[in-house]
Amino acid sequence: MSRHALELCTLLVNDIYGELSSHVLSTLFRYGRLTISQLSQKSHLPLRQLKHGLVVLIQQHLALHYTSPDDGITYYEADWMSSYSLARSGKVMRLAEERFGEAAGTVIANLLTQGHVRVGDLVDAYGLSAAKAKGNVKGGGINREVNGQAKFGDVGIKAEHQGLTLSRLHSIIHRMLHSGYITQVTEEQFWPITDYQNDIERTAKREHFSGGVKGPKQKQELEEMVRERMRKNREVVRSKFGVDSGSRGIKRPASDITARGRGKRVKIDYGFESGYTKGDDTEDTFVDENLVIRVNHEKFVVVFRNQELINLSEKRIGSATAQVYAELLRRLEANIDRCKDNLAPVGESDEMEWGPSISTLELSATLSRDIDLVNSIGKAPIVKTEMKGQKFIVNSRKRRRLELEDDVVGDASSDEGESDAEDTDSDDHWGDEDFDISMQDNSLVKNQKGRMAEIKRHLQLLAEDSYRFVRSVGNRGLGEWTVDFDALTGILKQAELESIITERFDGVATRLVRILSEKGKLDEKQVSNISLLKQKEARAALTLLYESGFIQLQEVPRDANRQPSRTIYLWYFDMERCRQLVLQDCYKAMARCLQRANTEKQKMHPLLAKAERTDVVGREEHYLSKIERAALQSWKEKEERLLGQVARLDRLVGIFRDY
Amino acid sequence: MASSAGSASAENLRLKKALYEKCLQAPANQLFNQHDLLDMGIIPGGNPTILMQCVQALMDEGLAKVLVQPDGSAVWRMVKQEDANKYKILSPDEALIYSHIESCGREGIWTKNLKNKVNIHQSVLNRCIKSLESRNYIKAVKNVKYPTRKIYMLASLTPSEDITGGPWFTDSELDNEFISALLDAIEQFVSSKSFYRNTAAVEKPRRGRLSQAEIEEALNKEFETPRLSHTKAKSALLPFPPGYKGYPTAQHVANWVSSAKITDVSLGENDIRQLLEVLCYDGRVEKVLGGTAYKAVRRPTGEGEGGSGNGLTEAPCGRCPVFGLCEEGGSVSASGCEYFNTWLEI
Repeated sequence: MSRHALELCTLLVNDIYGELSSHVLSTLFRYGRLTISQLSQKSHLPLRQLKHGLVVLIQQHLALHYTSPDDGITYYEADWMSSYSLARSGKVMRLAEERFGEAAGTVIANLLTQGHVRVGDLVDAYGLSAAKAKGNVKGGGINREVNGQAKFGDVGIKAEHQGLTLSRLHSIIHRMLHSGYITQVTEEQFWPITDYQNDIERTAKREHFSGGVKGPKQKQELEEMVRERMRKNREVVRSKFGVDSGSRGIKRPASDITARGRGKRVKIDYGFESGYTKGDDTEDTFVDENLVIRVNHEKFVVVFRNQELINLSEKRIGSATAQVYAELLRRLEANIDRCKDNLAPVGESDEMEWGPSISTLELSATLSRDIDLVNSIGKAPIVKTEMKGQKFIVNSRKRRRLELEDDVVGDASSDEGESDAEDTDSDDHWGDEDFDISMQDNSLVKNQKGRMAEIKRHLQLLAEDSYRFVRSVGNRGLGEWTVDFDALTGILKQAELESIITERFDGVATRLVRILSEKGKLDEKQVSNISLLKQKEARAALTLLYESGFIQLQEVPRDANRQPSRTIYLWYFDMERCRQLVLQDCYKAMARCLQRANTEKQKMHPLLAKAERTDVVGREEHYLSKIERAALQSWKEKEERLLGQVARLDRLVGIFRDY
Repeated sequence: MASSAGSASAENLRLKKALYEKCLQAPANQLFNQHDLLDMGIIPGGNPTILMQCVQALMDEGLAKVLVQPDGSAVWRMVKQEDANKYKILSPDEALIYSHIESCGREGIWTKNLKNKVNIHQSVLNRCIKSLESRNYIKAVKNVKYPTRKIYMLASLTPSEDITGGPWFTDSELDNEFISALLDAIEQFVSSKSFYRNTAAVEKPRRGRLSQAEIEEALNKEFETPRLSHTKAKSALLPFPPGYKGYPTAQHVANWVSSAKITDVSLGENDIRQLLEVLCYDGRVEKVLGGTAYKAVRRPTGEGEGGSGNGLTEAPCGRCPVFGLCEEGGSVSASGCEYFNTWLEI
């Protein structure tokens, strides 16, 4: 953890949970693993006060603790990643709202403020606080004394206003649990990862290696066993909620779904994610009231990554194709729990390359019919003689299809289920691509088929792009597709880095960086030859880049004397180093934005104090002068600007760190 | 080859002239050996002695030059009358220097190398070069690799590309403006061939044969300079269908550049490829179809995307010159930051 990240996390915690918590946390950041007495000493806090601070941190999962079974001493450790996640709260809330409706947004907001919550308490809070006025959700009632499970004093959700019923609330929680946006809290989540690992290792050793671990082979076996167990524990927690509900079954790999063919059941499986209006609100799914839940940031990061990829595809290809891609990614999302899996089995890397996949047929079922698939791809000009015959067919086919779509547009939208059923039936006849329209009579089937071909064309576009947005892995269901996330996130990183370099320097610098990243190590002369720049210009740009750390220089002496005149100087570009560099800059910039926001707030302190007075709130017109109102307005704008900037910087952190 | 010019009879003079003219009919700079000359059928009876006398006479007049092949055999090259005349008015030293410069052709010769070869004192050499230059027989050229060296070549020759540095150099300097103008033009051309434009869909697909005139028109159109008005480009940049093979190759671009008469400098396909590579590195164009063809990179049209820039560079911190020093409590800090002031006032 770097200095800037420390600064940022302390600021974030300070902003939301107050000075006591942030002081304790920053002490933990700076000193690492501490016992409570050490912590008290280092933070100069009396034990009583310290415990108040610590309890908040633990409730929020910002501090972890572990009691060693050997000596019985409890150690505390800070979890800086989860304190960084505070910066994402807004995005996480908005996403939940988009996916599951407004009520889900408030549920997530509550979970974020409370850290973790028993389902029963959450439900009670909604029931109890229904009449209370809507207060400040952010930070509400946190710096109170927290006693075990938090109580909802002034969370202030207007349950009635949102038309929430008990079953709706349960249904929302259940849906989010099922798709992994929230997760059950387990004991291990309060432990530092190393302790957790050691704990498992101890049991594994006791059970399988009673004579001690000997030799590298056994060592490797043990390591693999530990990973395996950790992974299994994770899976158990994850799959529990599918089992409870009964009707939905546990999380399955993609192949299982497809093996059963496509029917109504599968549609429900995916349909509930596509927005809560579509989901089945009346369904009687009650979550165990004693279950303790929290927000699962890992899963949200997956969705954020997908959004970045969708934006990229829109920029490169077009909005219709991006919408097809968005649907594809959204469908794959169900099988992706996290972006980077450090517990992934080592030996089975081959299998990992065949990540979750989806066929064109499956995709078409949930793809919105509002997307203009036909007119978003151009026609190939017919000047090319070798392509001529082929293109005519495509064009005429397309024209016919357009006419058809006009005819049956009502039918298509009236009953999706019916046409889906037909998909399943006719699956076998047109599993291969080569089909003839004239052979079919049913116009609906024709329309479906044309639509399928159009979707496939979009997917092929994505696959053919030099960024390789999707990869074809088979021909099942009119083509099966998967996404190579690792390669794509590499491209995302490169693209962002290049745009930073272009903005900070100029286009020439970007050209040089791209040359170096493609060719490896080059000397000045080669660089200027390839880039068609004067050696002087190239040297100036290279030096600037070198000074700011984006490229490096290697000296290769031609003899043992290491004279500068007899040395070859090679420039090179190191992505990993740049990634770290930019990441640190991002942390720092975020910290500066927050600091500035605090300064601006302090400047406004007297006025804000007045505006927040209970007699003033709601009657600003009466109590505040025109100038004061204008000042308040401009402060609000400034704060929004600064916090918006933090969110935009967070996007970069996501790209450079999480994806 | 010991022979005297005095024995040349009228007959020999005629033969010599005939031989010389016959040789000049052959392509310039062709080398002839003894058999080639005898096979011309001018020398009666293929008599080597007569041939030797004729050739010796030509050499004396400076109309033929003897060269020794690597295997030791002698070959001759004929010299034009006017070139030969040049030697006549030159002093022996000058003639020697001139012949060395001439032998280097379009590559030119560095004065230092010249001095080593002719083995004449520096001051004499300088005088001779000066006099040759004033007669406009030779000229000084600049080598792009060694700008400080003095290099001479015949005045009538154009320097080779090794010396000028190829088409990108004007007056032995890399011509930035020329290159960037070319890059822009090529990018526009490639971009015009990379996307389907709704507005440009005037050509209707037609069945049946095209008339000769229509074919010609279509061909002309293909090499027309693309007019890319920005309003048009924004209207729709639709991708071509998957599997489209019509993206321009380096060959296409080269053809277009030469037919559109963008520049007088002749550019080969390799030069064009070099330009396309630079465009690739600029992220304006990318390779498709396994690197054989090129496709323009779609530029965001502005709405929603907000052009370039991201979270870091938009904030004042991303472009702050003293970002490294910035620290709360330090001389540069966020609370007193001037850049933030202006940024927040916008």
